[in-house]
Amino acid sequence: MAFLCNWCGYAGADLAGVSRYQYPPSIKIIRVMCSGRVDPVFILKAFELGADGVLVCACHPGDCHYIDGNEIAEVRINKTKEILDWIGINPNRLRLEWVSAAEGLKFAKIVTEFTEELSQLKKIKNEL
Amino acid sequence: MVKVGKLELNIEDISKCYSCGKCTSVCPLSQISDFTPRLIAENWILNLNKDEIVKDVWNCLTCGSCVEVCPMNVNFPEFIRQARTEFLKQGIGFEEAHFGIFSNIARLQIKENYTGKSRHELYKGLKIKEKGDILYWTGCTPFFDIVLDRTYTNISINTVRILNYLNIEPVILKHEKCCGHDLLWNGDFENFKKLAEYNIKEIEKTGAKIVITTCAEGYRTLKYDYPRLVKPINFEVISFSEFIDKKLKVKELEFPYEFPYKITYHDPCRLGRHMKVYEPPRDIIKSVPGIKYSEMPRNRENSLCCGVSCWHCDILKKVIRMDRISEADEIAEILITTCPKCKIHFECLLDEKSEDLEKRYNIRIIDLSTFIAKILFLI
Repeated sequence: MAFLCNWCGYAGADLAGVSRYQYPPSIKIIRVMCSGRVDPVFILKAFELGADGVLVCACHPGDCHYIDGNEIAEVRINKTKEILDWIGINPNRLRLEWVSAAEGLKFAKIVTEFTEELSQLKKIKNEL
Repeated sequence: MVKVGKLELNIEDISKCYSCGKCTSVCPLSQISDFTPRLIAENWILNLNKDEIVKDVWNCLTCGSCVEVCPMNVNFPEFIRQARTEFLKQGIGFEEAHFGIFSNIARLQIKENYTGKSRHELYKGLKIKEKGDILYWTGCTPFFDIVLDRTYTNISINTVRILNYLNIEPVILKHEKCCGHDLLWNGDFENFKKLAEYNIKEIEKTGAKIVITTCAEGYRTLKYDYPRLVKPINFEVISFSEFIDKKLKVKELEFPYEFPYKITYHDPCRLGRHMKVYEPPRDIIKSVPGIKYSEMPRNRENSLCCGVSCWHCDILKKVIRMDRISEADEIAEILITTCPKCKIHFECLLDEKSEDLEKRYNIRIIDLSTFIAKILFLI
């Protein structure tokens, strides 16, 4: 499950597609207007419904279209990691990455890496 | 079997109601909105207005004020709980505050091999054990800390400090799950049962005879709902206030220092009306030398609910909270409560950055265990 911000992450993914960079078809993209919109509960809900990992892509610090949305996202993701730690889900299953609109290659790389890392962990159903 | 519109439900308890309307006269929600318990009962029995019933069933505070006055002893909160369970089975749910994150957390804890961060890490530097007679139930406070940006783990840590002061090393469950109170009252009985079975098993493994809780909701769930709905338990559940009260009565604990403040006490619904623990917290507070204790006009069984249960929060519930806080603010500087949830809801109101609110209230909300720890100079 990937939450991409409209201005950077999603554009980056778009660029990756247009430039034909290959990455695994393992992600389901949800576009949000800003990464700050991603509430901890969205992430927990994704895990509850069986997602193996959650990726949140935001603009680089200082580049947010809404001034400080990505900083809010960082705080929220850290909080969510703490919650995951308490309830016994590996916090590495949740990842926040800075991807700008020009970084299609970086996006493809991140998805490939993350998919590999998740495939080494067990299925979420074994943890839940 | 009762029929509501197209729904067929297995609830009969409420049919004793003879529409006298006493419940509506005391219901805190009825005084500020068009919610009336009597009408719910009437609609239910006569099988009318299904939409209204659904809305009202989810709106009810389940505070239990109506039970106190009902001449027919209808257990209205229990009826609401069963109705919610039935509604949820048919896909009629309710949107909780905070996007339902607390129910989410509770549901994510349902798994066989539960391994999270150990709760022992909360109590670094304090004396705790893994096996023994007295167990302290931490509850959800670590999650409140993370989600609500305030420190509620203080309640748990201070309780263990006080127990250590009394030369008791409490047992702490390493991997304790949510007690399931909110799931139960939101109608998710299946998941509640799973959580309860795990918790009972884990508590019995430690060999604990007494389980102490600082949470009113946890107290009710462990003591009353587990044996009633899941399976019998072979340990005794007591609230922290009862425990300290006993120690005070046999003079094992004394408060040596004066605490000259004006104080009042708020009865949580779950501890007061539901479980009838009224006097122990009051006796503890009154036994502190120099304290100026006064009772709010609405106290004990007539006490006003803090306004929110199971994270069903809206503007009406805020009015109830403002009402309660104003009542306390008139007579005291510190409001003591024994339920972390009441504390959360009152503080949520006090934290609001609107100007007239800041001017109006000077009161502070303190949990009973933090209060005791302060008096004993443990923090």
